[in-house]
Amino acid sequence: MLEPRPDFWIDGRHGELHPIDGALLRAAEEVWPRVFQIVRDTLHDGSSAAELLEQVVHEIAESQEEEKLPKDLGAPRALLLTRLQQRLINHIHRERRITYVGSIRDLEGSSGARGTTNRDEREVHQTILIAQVVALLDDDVRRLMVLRLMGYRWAEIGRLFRERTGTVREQFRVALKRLGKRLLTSNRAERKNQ
Amino acid sequence: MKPFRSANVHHYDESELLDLTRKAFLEVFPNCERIDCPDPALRENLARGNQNLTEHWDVFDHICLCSPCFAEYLAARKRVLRRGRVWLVCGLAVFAAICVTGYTTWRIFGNAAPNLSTADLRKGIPPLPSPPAEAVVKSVTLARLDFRHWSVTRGDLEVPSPFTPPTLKRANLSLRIELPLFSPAGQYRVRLRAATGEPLMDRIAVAHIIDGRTILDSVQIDLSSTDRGMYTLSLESTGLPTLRKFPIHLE
Repeated sequence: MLEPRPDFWIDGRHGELHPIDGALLRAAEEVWPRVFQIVRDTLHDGSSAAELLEQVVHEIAESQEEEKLPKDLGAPRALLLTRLQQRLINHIHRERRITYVGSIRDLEGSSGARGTTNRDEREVHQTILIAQVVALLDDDVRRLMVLRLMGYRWAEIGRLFRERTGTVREQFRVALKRLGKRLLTSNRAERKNQ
Repeated sequence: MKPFRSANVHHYDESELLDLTRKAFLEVFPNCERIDCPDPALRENLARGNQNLTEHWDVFDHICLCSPCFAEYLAARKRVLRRGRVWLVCGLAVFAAICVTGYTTWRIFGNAAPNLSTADLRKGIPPLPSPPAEAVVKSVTLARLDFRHWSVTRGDLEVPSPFTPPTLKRANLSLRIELPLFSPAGQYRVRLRAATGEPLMDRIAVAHIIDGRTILDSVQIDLSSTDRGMYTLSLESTGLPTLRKFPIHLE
């Protein structure tokens, strides 16, 4: 049984209202059953799914307003799902539902550091970050990247997009470079926090 | 000036980024209840290329947003690629087999002109200019006439010999004549006559005694154009009281 749909326009982050883009709103409504499923499976309780999704929607709307994110999102559903997962991890942290598994040395080294996470958690964050970066790519670039991941040849991809092979290769190279740069920035920020 | 690179920050290469991205798609979008998932048959057809992907970008976008669908599509693509490689290998093997068979067939049957008789083949060969007659050297066949056990006849009477006359082939012969035992060495006049009395050869040859045998030096005679029949070889020497005659059959 699904939870009732959240009213995204009622509440806002920090109590402030942010205008929500129609496409984002539609995407949130479309993705709601998936959100409920993910939250329920992770927390064994779906009651906070609506609240989490609402927070994510307002977070994205705020970023759009502050021009940290583009007005026209390429894959809003993917962005919503990945941001939701990040928020879900933070929620679990807050609820202290994570049991740390690691060596004593790791624990000693990380004790007291607010942003410190163990290796597995870092990998999860990194994976989510990659999915987010891909979600923010243009439709065609995102699709060609996924096609390449699935083993399509450059000639096939070029045919599908009616582009020259060299063009799609270049687009792919630029997208990968952007991804690598974003990961690098993230890793540097993490090191700085430690 | 070199850009600053922190030693502790990991730099990603292309294959590593691809692996991480693939992993992200496989993990970040769980959908255990398979909400909004497309028809598996359609997905399989798209992966195989049986249906045009450009007409189903909505399905593809869902696959990018659903880890189980992504995993299944990836597996289908791998199957397709593997099958493609198998077909390629099979094709190459068949091509190689055809090449080998063709080459072998050509080597076995290709060199000999099929269904051509010797006469046909000869027709195809342009005639060579005939050499001058004196330049023609006929091959010589060695022939041996052994009269060792032919008894010595005394007197002028022609006594028929108990031995079968030796047979010579009609060819350019180099005759090695072995005289009856105890014949003396020395010069001999060697003559060959037809039954009609027509002389074919009249030579002088020297006989030597070797290991108790009396052997004449080789006498060369061309009998290739001579008629078949019985001939008489006569040997005359100063050491012999009478003329010795031996029948010879020419075939």
